Amino acid sequence: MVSVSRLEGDHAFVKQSASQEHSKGNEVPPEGFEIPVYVMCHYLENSGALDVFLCKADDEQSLLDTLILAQWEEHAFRGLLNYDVTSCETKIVDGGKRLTAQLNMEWNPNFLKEFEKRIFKLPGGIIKPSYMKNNLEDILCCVTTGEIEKSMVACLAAVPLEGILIVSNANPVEYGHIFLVPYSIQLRTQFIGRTLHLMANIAHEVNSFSLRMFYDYFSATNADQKIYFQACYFANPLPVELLPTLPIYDSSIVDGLSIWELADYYLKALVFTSKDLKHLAAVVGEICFELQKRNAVFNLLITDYGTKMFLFPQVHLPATGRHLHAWECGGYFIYSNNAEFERASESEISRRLASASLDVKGFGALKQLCCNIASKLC
Amino acid sequence: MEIREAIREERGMQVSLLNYRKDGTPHWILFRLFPIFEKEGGQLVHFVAVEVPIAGSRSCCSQSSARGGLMPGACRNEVRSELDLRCTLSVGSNNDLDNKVAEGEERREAGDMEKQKAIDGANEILLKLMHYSKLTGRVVCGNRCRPPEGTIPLPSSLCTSLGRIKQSFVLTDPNLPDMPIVYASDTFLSLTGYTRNEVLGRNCRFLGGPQTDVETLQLIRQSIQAEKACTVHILNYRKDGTQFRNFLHISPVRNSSGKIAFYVGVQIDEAAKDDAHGLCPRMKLLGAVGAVKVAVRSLSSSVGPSSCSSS
Repeated sequence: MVSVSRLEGDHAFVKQSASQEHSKGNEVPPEGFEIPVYVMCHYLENSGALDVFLCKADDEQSLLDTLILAQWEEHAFRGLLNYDVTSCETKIVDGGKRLTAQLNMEWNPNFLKEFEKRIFKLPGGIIKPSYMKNNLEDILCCVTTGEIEKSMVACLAAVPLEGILIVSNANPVEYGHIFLVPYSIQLRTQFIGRTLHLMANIAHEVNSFSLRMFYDYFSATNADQKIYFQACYFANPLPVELLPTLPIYDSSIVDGLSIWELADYYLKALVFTSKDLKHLAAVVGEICFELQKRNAVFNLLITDYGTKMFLFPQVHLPATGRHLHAWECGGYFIYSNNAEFERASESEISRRLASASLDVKGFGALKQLCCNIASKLC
Repeated sequence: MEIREAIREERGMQVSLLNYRKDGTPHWILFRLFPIFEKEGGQLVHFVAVEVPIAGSRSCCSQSSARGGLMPGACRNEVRSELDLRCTLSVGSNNDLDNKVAEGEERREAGDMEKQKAIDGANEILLKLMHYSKLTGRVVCGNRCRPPEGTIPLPSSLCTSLGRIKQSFVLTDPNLPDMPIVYASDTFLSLTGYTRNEVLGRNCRFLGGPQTDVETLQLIRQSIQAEKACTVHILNYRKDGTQFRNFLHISPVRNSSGKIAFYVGVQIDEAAKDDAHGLCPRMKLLGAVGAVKVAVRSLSSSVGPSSCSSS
């Protein structure tokens, strides 16, 4: 939390609490460096239903959207990305599901592991104190909440006490691929539920139909509680977003929450929708927490300005250890060579999706768990 | 789904649909959709949907034909230029007749009579729209006319995404001779004082004037040749001849096949007062560039060269 005061002149200044000045230690970036900090207005933290704010389709580009895209574009302009992802060809694979394939010969499939190694301290999974100092160039901006009436951007010499670091991914799968890493100087553990709420708020503030957020939980390789999300700008909805759904839980009259299951998809999945982002995040967060306790593999995909969350449970694949990324669950696959890209077919992709899917019994148990948690938190 | 696809591809279609009334009772309709284009420029202005109730097999059709007259429900008198305006005109709603036969659960296919009725309805609406559009000066027609000078209008879905970007910017097409402007934002028009028709199809050099720095122009030309982005400060001229200092960023923009489909030029008038959002002018320029790049990557609106190479 930061406090903001507007001083004379054009720029707003954000005062840091005194205690942080002492505790920062080696987390202070070098002198002269300024990081753009997006201060999200406080109401979002506590608000329930966002109905009033949700009719935004015709609005102009939001401040946060402009900030993230500008910083990403600047980053690309300065040659800090490994390649220009917009020069990669994408196509819709023949078949009814409009699955999407991308030809990307420079993509590094190990980018997640390498990123985690760079940023997180093991064990424990918190951000390395030296990360910010050593990787300043990768940090696009920081998002935090403040007691202000209207969200704003300020340039600071240090990051606030807690917030979300927005870090560029040099191995993008689409334009604007970023990591969103929650951090807190005081709090030593991050919880998925709270983080999810912050992510939904950010999606709401970005207010772009193109923004999609991802969370991968690969328990087998990810024993530590490293919590971070990714996000990308996709001009088109991911294939999974266009599929028909069947309702399995509906308390839309009571608390606005509905749960659906994807009909007719190779990977069994659930969809949670609500305009009350806080409640939606609480329910999905609780379900994720439960799945993490059971050491299950799963992914989340957040769309529709934070009001829609897809949950993709996966089976353990000890033989290959290669679990699907959230965008793959969403029907978007990357091919590293031309021959594979040309051969990409719905039957081949469907096999990959189906091999990760839960069976009917396992999925039934998950549905039961979700409905129980939803009605408990109602 | 079929309807969505037709709208995306800006073409007409016809399908039998099971719809529900407000009270929950089902009824089959024949749904006929067709686009209306602006006569000049070929831009999409409307979609018109005609709905004809399909009588069940057990019912006799005489009743519906007796009421054959059309009742356009919500025809708008003014023809507006917005792309998204959708105008639904319902035709001959035979509620009483339909209620009696709606229990039948078999899929109903439209007979020749319904189809003819839908076509008649569509033609009548088209005639009315063409008539009204003559009054407003923006003449529309049922078929896309050839746009001027070989420029193809951008897909409406792309225009909708671009319309959300409120900054001053233009898209130029490097695959056409002399890189003409193919899209200009409203803010660009108010900044420069030109109308859309005056800038579309022209090269951006008309913004320059006697005191425009030649070296800066050279720099822009070199960046475009190298397919690279550049940022410059340049002196430009409005339509009325007044000068303004233009903070300009130009960048290639690639489509879903990875080919350069456009160059985007984003402008900020350096004299304009800054709104206190906390973003520096360069961030505003690049934020708009990013949004354009995202929009042009869309798969449904495969613009620019897709299979041919962009040499």
